[in-house]
Amino acid sequence: MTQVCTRCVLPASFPNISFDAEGVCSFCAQPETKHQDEFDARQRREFESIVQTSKGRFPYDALCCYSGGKDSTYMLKMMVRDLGLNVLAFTLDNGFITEQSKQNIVKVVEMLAVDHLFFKPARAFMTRMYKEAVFGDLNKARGNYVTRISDICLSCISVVNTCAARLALSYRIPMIFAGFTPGQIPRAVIKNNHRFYRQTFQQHKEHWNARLGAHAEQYLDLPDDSFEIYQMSPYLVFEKSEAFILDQIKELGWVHPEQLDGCTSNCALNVVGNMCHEKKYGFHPYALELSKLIRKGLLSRDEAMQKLAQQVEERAVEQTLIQLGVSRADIQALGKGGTGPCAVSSAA
Amino acid sequence: MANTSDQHIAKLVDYLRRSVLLNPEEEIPLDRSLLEAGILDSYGIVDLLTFIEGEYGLAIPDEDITKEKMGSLRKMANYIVQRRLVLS
Repeated sequence: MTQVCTRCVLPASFPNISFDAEGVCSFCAQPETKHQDEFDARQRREFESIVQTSKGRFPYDALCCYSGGKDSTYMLKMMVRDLGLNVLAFTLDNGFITEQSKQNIVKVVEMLAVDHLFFKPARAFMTRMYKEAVFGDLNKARGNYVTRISDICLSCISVVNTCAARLALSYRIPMIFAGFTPGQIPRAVIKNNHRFYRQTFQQHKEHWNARLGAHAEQYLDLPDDSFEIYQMSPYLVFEKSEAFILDQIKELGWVHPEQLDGCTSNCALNVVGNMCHEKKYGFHPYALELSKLIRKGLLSRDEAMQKLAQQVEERAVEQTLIQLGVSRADIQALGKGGTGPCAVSSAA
Repeated sequence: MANTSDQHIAKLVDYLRRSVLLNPEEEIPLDRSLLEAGILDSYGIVDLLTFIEGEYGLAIPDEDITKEKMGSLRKMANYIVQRRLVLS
């Protein structure tokens, strides 16, 4: 049985990990940075200042990336009721959002009286992207991302971020809010540097076009526009426990969808992303994030262990695999990293 | 003396090896963009800059996040030296 840290949930199979005599992992043993408190205070001041100075300048104060999951639901409530923002909510339907989640979305935006847009990219593009990410080498040039996110989630979130930025540019919305947790993103405020994004896209353009076709530009590139946008992650300055969030969103009529793994509250594809990641890299893609939440005191070790262990009914997994056009044998055959174009059947 | 560029480079490399890299043996270029070298993605760059701010107590203004000033580990280390001199 694989050794797991006695304080968090990182396993011995996680890259670069070591354990002391008490079984505490090197991630738990190392201190935070020397000036962490100072950094946190500065980050909070910056966040509050940008919220205040962005209010009322344009028809919408902020775009909310609203997945329908618990975190973005509470974030939307916070944006409207606590921060007093005029919000445009935006949901990217990746084709795997559960019916219950869609009902939650409709109910919550009505309760909070915010404008809302659904955007569903072409299914053929999305399934091709997911398969190229898992079975091919789509993400290979993007560094060491696999320590913190699955191939599937990384490709999906890239499309979400790009579509959100495109919307914010076209509506002139100065802030984009996303429900990233402290374990998912390093800072609460990031000024969108379009030039940097475009440079990054250009750098990978040839590779992505080769794998995904010319449509890649439509979903992963931004127009040349210097409008200033701040990407805001409120959970890094207003840290909230999961129990608190679940309690707070009850009054909006939010219902926890069934048949999902313990690390999502809206997406049926997540469990397949986790299965593929564990097979390919030997550890769970949420282990690092959950370990950070434990160190921050936002989650207990037992709660995190339960999340990682939560099973999804075979029938539900099977349905997702069929929709994706992937078999269990494909997943069993996964090796370390892709080396070329995806070889898995594109029939979906 | 704890303020030389080489010592800052060593600290940044150590951070990448213990917290970020999938393969700790991976070669990390000191004079090339980590983004272009495929070591980090844009998130990874933000994470590294956040580490610098937290570790050295520096606030890095947006206008300083350029390829000229931050385009490699050596440039980042030189930036730390210069910023600390200005602030001391």
